Amino acid sequence: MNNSPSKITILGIGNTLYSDEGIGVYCIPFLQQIFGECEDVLVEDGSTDGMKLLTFVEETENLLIIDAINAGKEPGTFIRIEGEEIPKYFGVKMSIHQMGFAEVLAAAQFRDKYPKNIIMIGMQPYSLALCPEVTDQGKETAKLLIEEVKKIVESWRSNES
Amino acid sequence: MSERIVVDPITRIEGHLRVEVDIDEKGIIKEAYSSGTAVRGLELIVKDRDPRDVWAFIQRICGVCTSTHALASVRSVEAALDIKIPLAGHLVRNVMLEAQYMHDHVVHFYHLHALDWVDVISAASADPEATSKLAQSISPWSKSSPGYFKDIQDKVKKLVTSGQLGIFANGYWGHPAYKLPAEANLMAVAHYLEALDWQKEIVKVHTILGGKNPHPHFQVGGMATPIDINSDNAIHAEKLMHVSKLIDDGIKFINEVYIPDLLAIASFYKDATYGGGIQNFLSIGDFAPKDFNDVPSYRMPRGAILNGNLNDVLPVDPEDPSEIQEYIDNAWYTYDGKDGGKGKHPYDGETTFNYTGPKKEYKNLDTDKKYTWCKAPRWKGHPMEVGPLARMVVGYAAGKKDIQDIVNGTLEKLGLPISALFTVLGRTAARGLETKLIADWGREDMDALLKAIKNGQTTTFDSSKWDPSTWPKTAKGGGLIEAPRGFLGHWIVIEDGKTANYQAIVPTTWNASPKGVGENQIAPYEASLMGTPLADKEQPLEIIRVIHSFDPCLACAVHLTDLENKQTTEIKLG
Repeated sequence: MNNSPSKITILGIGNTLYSDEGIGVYCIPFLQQIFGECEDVLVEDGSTDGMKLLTFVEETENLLIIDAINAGKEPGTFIRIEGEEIPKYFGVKMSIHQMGFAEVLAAAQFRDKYPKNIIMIGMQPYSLALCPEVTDQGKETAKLLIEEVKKIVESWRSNES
Repeated sequence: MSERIVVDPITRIEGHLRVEVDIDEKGIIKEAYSSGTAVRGLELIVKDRDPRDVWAFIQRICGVCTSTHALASVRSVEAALDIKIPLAGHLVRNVMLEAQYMHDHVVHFYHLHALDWVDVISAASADPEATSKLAQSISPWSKSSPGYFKDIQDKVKKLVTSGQLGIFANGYWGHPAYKLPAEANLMAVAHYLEALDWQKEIVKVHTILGGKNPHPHFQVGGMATPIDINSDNAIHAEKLMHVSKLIDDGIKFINEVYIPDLLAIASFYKDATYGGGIQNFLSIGDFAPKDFNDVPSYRMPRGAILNGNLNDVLPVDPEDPSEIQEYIDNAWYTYDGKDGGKGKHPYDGETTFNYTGPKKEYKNLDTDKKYTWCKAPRWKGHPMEVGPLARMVVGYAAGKKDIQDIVNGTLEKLGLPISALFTVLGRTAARGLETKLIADWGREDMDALLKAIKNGQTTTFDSSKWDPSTWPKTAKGGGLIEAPRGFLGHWIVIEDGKTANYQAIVPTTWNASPKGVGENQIAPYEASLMGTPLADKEQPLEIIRVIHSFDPCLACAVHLTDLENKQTTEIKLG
């Protein structure tokens, strides 16, 4: 276990049992292949793990989240949100449901441990049907997401230097 | 004329849990309906899969309860194939489950439930000096100086003046049912933040013993992670010491923060006598010191209580097809093509969806017809409460001395009668008390594990029935576990090496289930809401308290990030 803060953390979130809801997690093994050897990048399957994800959020300077995003757009549309826009789109509190990722971000913010940079990318899903596989079209879009991840990582790295 | 109030956390109809209640002129709830509005058909996904793989799918049922579902699943296959787990494997599983309880219950108390009792905004007006005195009077916990509380208060003030409440948005702040003095509120907010730090640590027990977290590894036949005190590629001595320390730190946090806070908060809410519910309790039991199949050795015993009768602990047989059955009379399913009329034991269970609810946006559910995705599990026909209160009540009635001592001691400290257990407060207190007991069992099991390793018993996995050619043509088994939220059961039927049928009954299904047909068929959520008074019907805080006291978890279904519907909490009056 590495307790020192990672410079860049890539977190795939979502539920892999509901088709494209799992797109963030689907990307993770591909990203592990790309960044597995890089000491400055941590790639994690965050799934739906609620408050247990706080560590990953708080112990990084640059956080990249990959998730299915409902923006009311055409299925397959690539969506990118940044900085303060991200928590604005959440807002769960008095929810009966367990804590969502929104609360994890809010908790990190309240504790002054919010990442310096935070970007969220995702896709408008084709399907949320109960099925442990991302749709074929979703898999195609995932390739674009992975390319986008590479670009974002590069831009963060070049800002560091 | 009664008035219908709707509390639906998600505006869209595929939301999770929706509650509708009818109140009378005095604001007392007369009738209640709990509706699980998200479908969960996991059973269908694992059909025909290799039984040894099922746990890996099934644990994704929920991000929070992942390891308990994985454990229930591997236990079902082990029961079906009569596989015995080596001692070290059993103890590793116990320690992981105990850590899961410590994590879940602390997170539930501070991050999901405390704000129903603690007014965050009021903390801004507390006197840090007096807060420090209060904290030091109830606990030796070291973080209790006036300066420490002042810093926390400054953060709260900053948040309040910014107008962006962030994590504390959407609360019913200032509601008349909040009773704590400002200083107690400030102390609780400080511990809310400390608990966030602590919970990050305790999950490392799973990272170490389960190989990874989220979603630790389990295996049919034992555990996947080998123990070798000298190898870098196994659970070695240093890692074991780390787990040991995490358990000790956990015990300290529970004894010096969680329990003192619970008692301090409870002492201001002794009048919260509503929310008791049905007083039928079911515990399947767990926490065997050595062998899961040795039911009498369970530290959390198995049994059922009906109508609050603590003099009679009834035996429970999870294999008997006439005892545990699920009904669908008020849920959106069919059995054998019919709308209901009979119950099915999980071995014969069926998951056939038949949604007949509202098709579009709607104001109220038609509660005279089917109204939920939750089936109605019953024990010998009775609706039953499961969870911490059920376990404490069954354990108390069964004569478990450690459970009796902690329950009696707490009631004495608060000056409350035993009947106080059967309230919203009793349910919340039971969760804290069992956390203390289970944390101590965590220490015991860790010591037993270290001792076993010292004696050379490092095997965590029994491979004798790994190969499907050793299996009978057909087999079936129930995977039983007391998960933090209550009795969790997975039942598998194996045919020709494949999963022929699979059914799970999760704790929230017992508690949140709809009405059955006939007398005394109201389940825990609905029964607990009935009779609950609302101080302000526009801010139904008491409903939230009662529901949260059960620690609901309707299977983390779709949590899709939503840019369309930013409004997620909706209180409708109609």
